[in-house]
Amino acid sequence: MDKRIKALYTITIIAILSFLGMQVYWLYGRYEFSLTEYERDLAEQIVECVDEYNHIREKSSDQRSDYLKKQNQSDDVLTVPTFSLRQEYGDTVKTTRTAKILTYLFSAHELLGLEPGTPLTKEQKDKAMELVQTNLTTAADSLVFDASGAKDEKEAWAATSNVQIERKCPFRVEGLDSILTKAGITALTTLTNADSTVWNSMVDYHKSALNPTLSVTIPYSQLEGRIATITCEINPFEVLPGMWLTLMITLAVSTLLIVCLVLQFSTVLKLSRLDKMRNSFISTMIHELKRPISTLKMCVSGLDNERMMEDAAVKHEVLSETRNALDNLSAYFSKLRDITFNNVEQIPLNIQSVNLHELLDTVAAATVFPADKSVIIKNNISPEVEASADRSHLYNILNNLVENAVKYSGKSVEITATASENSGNAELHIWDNGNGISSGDLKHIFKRFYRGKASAGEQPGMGLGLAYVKLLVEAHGGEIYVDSSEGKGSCFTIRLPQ
Amino acid sequence: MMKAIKILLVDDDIRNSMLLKRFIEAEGYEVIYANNGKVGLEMYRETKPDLILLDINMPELDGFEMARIIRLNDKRVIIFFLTDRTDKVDRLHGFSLKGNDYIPKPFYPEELIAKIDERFESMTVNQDVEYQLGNTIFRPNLSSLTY
Repeated sequence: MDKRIKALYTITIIAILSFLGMQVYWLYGRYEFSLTEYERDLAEQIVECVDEYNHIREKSSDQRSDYLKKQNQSDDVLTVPTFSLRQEYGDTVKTTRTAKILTYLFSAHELLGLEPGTPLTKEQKDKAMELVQTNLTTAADSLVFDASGAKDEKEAWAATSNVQIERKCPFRVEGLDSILTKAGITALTTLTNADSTVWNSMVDYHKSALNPTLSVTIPYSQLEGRIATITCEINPFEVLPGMWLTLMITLAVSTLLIVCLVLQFSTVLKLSRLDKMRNSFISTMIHELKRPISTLKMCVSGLDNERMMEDAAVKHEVLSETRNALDNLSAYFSKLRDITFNNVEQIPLNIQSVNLHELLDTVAAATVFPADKSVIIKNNISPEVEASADRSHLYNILNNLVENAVKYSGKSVEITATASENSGNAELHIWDNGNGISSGDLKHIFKRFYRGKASAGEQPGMGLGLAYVKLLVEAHGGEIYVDSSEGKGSCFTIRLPQ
Repeated sequence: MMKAIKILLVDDDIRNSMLLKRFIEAEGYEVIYANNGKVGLEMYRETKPDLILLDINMPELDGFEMARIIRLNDKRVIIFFLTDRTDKVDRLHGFSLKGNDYIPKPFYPEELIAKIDERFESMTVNQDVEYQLGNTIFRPNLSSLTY
């Protein structure tokens, strides 16, 4: 292979690989982006579910909050929780907040002077609350939390309230799961106690793109450091549907580009092969043309040599060689003219009825075979078979086939010709016992300038013979086939209209 | 009369070779013909020629290879390459194989004969040859000078 083509080949491969690499990298980036988007949506949904659950908890704790029946106490002993938030402003801007939750035990019935067990109306309950607020004495239970981490007072109050909610209506995994399932989310929830207060929710996005897992950490009672961790395993195929269009477009464009590159490269390779074949054709043509010129130079010298011209036999030989050389030259030129026609319609034909048996005899008689080969031509064509053809072209066709059979064979050559008539066509078969054609060469032998690998170095020729034969056969509206096995011989079949 | 000079012509183009053979023979040389390198090598061993006219492109054994084999044992025989392979590389290869001349085809036979004559000038001089300058006649083989 040419250096430049080799370089082009390498560059093409590198370009294809880099392009594919880039595409994979880009697609991976797209996938990561889609996955993160998907996770963000999912995290939002989870947070919404937790909010909904917290809301439910808050509501149910509200119903019981004011007058919660204390365990192991008689019906009229009630507890009223009180929240306080103390804010201390030091010299610096920093604010220290302490959340204090005090629980007082009292009996509403006793405060209101009612009989124990009497149901209380709303007004009575409110009145009892008022009395508790004004007559506070010692708290039965006191919880103190450091709420300094809260970003403002509102958050600190909310966190304090959350502690209270947790006391009245504790956060339950099953409760959240039922809401998550309703929202179509399958997740694993775990409740843990952190060592310190946790104020904000945290989302841990996937660590591996192949097996992505989303983890959302939500504090449900910040001051007590209680957190719920919701872990979701994500199926990558759930993310891909969002990328179908991108994937399809990428695949189509990549295929198109790669096909383009491969086609370009194969065209360059084909053109370079053609160029090589043309060059080899030109050098062979020059070689072939030099032979008759060489003969002519010799003949002219002979004619100029008086001593040689005195001998009548030599004179005759010189003149006959001159004619031969000139005939060879003109035959070459007509072959070149015909082969350079771009389509078969341009070849002028003088159609007449040609007797195949007789024509083969003429060809056999006129062809000069190498002295070191014994050639037998068996003309088994029935004398009545005729074809409609240009006699001179058909002569050239047979001559080429016979010469080829002799050229590519051993010392003893046997050529057998048969013919048959078949639905308005004459079918001519030329068999030989020559070298045969390798299966690799078989599909190329009718191409212009192509020379079989075995013959290219050894035998003179332009690689035009069979291309010329095919062109002429097609110009007649006929067809040519070859059947060959290497080492055994070949059979050329020509079908011509009658 | 001296023994005729033997020339071995090795070329696969039979027609041209037969014509060339006639020309060289007409000049009084003995020509032996072989149509390929393998036969040429056998003929060389049999006939021990003085000069070999060697084509390069030949089936079986090409001219370069044949020259290489001959030069293994014989530095004396004169070798002329006759070929249409006229690239510089081919010519240099021909000379590297100790070819004595490289004659590109097609050539006029007179050119070749002139080159052969030049090589064998001293050997072809026989007693029939005489050089005349005015009344002075020089006969080299008889070492005589008549005036």
